Amino acid sequence: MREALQALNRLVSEGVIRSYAIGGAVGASFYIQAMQTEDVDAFVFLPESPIGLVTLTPIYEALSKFGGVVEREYVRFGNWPLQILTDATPLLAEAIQKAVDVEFGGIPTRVFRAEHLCAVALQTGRAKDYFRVRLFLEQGAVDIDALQEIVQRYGLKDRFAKVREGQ
Amino acid sequence: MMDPLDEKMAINLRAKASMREFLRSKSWEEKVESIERMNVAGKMARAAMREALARKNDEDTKSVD
Repeated sequence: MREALQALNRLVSEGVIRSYAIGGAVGASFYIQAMQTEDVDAFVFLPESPIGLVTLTPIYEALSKFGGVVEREYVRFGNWPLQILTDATPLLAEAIQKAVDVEFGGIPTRVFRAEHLCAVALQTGRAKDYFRVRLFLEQGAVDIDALQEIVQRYGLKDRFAKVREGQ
Repeated sequence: MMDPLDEKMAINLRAKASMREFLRSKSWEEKVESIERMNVAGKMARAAMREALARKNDEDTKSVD
């Protein structure tokens, strides 16, 4: 995974993206037990486009230049397919903005806060996402008040209540 | 005195909780390594399953012949 993170950092230093943060199961594993996943989800802030078009082509091109191998919607670095996702919703944009600076094997990187990982999982709404939120709650790995505030703002109260009921 | 079934359940829950705590206490790097191992194991299991299915199909075809 180190290669993937180094490539993401290069995307930022070369101005291809403004910033990024790791979400999904790999991001969650920073806070809770590891769960099976086959890819790394990197959520990116794209630079402003003069014509307002959102395109990932420059990112894929740069990642290939850094040694990644493009496979369908992923760019593989070693064992890890990297999936690039954008700040497509206000919740994702906030999650990238408020991500925390951490290190992985000495490589600086950014990870979504636990509360945002849960809120994004609730918004995605698959069974495995709800399960992940349940693990955060069970393991006391999330600030409930902060999560409730986010859940309220993004209209995810019902989904959160459903997960808490199942606890 | 606790019902033996309840007791068994309580032991299981405690064991599960302590296992989760142990897994959670690992470093991020260690957790990512364990995801990598899960993926390798998953690939091996899928390959073995495919092989077994292919063998079975082969045998079924031969028995029809």
